[in-house]
Amino acid sequence: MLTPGSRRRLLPRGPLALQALGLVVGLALWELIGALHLISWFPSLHAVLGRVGELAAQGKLQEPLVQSVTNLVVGYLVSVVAGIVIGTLMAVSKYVNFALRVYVDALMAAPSIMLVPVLYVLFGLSSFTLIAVIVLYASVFIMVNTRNAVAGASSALHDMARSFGAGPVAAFFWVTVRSAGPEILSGLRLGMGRAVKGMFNGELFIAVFGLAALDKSYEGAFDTTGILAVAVVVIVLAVVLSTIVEFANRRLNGWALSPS
Amino acid sequence: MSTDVAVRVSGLAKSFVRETRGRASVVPVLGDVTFEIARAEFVSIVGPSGCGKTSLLRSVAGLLDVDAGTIEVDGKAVTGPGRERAVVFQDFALLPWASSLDNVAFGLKLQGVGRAERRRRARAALEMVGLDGFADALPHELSGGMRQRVGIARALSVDPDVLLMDEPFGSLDEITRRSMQEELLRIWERDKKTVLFITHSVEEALFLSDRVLVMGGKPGRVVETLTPELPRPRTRSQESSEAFTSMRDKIWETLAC
Amino acid sequence: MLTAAGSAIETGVAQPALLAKWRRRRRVERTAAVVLPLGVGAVCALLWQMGAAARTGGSVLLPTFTDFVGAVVRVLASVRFWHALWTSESALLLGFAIAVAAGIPLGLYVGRHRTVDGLVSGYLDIAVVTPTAVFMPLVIVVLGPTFWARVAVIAIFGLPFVVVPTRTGSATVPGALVSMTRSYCGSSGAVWREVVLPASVPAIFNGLRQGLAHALTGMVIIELTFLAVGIGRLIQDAQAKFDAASVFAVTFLIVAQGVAMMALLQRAQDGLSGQWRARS
Repeated sequence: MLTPGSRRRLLPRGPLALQALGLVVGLALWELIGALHLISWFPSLHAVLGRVGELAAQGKLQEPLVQSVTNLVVGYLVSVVAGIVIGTLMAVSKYVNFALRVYVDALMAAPSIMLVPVLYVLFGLSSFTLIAVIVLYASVFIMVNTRNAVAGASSALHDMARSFGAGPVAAFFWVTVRSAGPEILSGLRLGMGRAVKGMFNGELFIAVFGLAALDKSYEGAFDTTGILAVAVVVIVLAVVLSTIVEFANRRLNGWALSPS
Repeated sequence: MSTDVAVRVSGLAKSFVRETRGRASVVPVLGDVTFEIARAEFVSIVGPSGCGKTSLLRSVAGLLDVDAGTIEVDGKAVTGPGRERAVVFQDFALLPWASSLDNVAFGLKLQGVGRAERRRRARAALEMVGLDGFADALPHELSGGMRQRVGIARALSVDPDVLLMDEPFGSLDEITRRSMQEELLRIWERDKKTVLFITHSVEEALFLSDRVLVMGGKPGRVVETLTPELPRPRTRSQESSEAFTSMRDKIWETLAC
Repeated sequence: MLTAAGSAIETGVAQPALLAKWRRRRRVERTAAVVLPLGVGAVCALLWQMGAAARTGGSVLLPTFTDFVGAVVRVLASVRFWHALWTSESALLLGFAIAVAAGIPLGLYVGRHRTVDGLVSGYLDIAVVTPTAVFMPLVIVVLGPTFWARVAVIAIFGLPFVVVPTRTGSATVPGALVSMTRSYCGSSGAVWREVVLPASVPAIFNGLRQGLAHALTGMVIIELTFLAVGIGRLIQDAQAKFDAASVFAVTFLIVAQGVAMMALLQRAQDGLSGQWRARS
């Protein structure tokens, strides 16, 4: 049904069309430079995509992909639960915040990859190490966003709920959590990006697991087509996963995305 | 006026601690505020910003603890929010994710009213404020005036004895504001609730109220009480009457010193 | 008038009590803000010490907390560490400088031009969510295992994170300020110089911090995975010798340095924006 409201929603197509145009032009340039052999080491787009298809046909892609994504999903879920629970506690209790703030801020600022060797010492050559890396990468971002979201939730709405007789617990769940929702979800989206990075960087360090191991093997062979093929797979994976979280965000929090 | 007192505030004092550059100082906001509101009386409190009007209303609403003094509503001391009072907020305080109907029903939901019953009462309240066609609209789809109608409907739907209104039309434009004032009086004439109405508009206070309390000073207190004896129902033509203008000038004089 | 006098006396009595109560609460909070994090740290150190000591029979890998502290001192005193640090961070300095020199103008420009922004926003969105490390093998194949490969990796890691916040900053410069400058016949140069640049300063600092964090990641990750030099070499050597205490110590020092650098940038930003507020 085409109501005036739904027609207005078509407007954001403008920048979206530009974005698509930019990407198409970039891909065309890539193909052109590669196909004309303008840069000796730079393969064309169709060669890279062909390699992706080849790898998939040979079944070389599926196993590392499944390995990587399994770790990713487990690590991400752990991060979501830990991040939301601890972040909320930090927002609600001044003392929990005092106790953890320094460490959380340090983890936000520190290059998380530094801690991979330490996790490797602790957990050895196992997917447990990789999951721990993902949790390290993702949970802190989710935690900080949740803390800021809950702490910054509208106190006017909280007052309103209390004035109509809500107790502190009811006001917290009916109003505070709900109005913190969009920002918590934007933390979840950031966290997903971080989780993919943690997954890949962790694998790169350990070098026997997943997509990164494949990537590394091509470096040894100076196979730039192979390297870019893996890059394409990882980029698509990262974009798809972020889009899924973004989609959930839009479904749950449409009200916050419209101008008020 | 009858002797039936709905709200009794006596000796109310409130101070806040403010920290500037590491030094703490006490800022007294309310100093010995005393007044009464009779049942079914419409009382406005007018004063400059920072005179403690909002602190006073929040205290009566039970949202703010006071340092000294007592507040009684219906003869019972106020210690927190209660069902006999409902607040209309300055910035509407509507849940941005909920429809008009759900926003109006929110107060009833918090008071444990069943789903069917609260939807029925919320619909009736929406109808009363003239928003029957907008039950499913989200707040951001409504104009400022319509949003505050939802806020008023929410407060009316819980059927309070006392309506506390905190500069409810303060963020509306002048034209919407005037029509909302008339609308409010129309609703109020139906079942005269006790109203405590905070505003910084002298004309608004005079047009709406049975009695106007002027607040001023630091800490804030009631410096003047006026009774605009204009016949009800009020009309805009009364605004140019001698009684109205002389009282307006008197308030301005009080506020000037 | 009597009531007014009464109220003055009453609040006069109440105020010291209110202030004392507030000060007491403040003191408790200040103490908690120091004691609680130290407590958490101490408990973790204790658990670590006991856990590691209990495992000495089975695993020689896990150092105790005291081993770790000893290793920190030892590492700090070794010439090799400082040498490695210079090797790593000379590349960081150069790579980050390139990312900043390219990223800030790019971000400012893109933020002010809707069409350009639309064209590149897809790439920026992708760059932010993609592990930059996927391109590392490519850089090494092209530039060889050289200093310049490290510089390039660091610059590639930092660049998108300098651009994105800067772009947000210049895109959200209040339109009223731009209109105001134009209304006084300000040229577009004046708009840039007097409005866009100063208004984007907090966002630029944000970009510097995020960019540095990712540049640092780039520095570490290439040394740990493809080019074993500098700090990465130090860690890998310690690992090969099962000297876990040194691994922990070097990690700790680099993390501490990263945190310190971020804190410094944050302070510079706070100082600057504080000045800004005071001036206006």
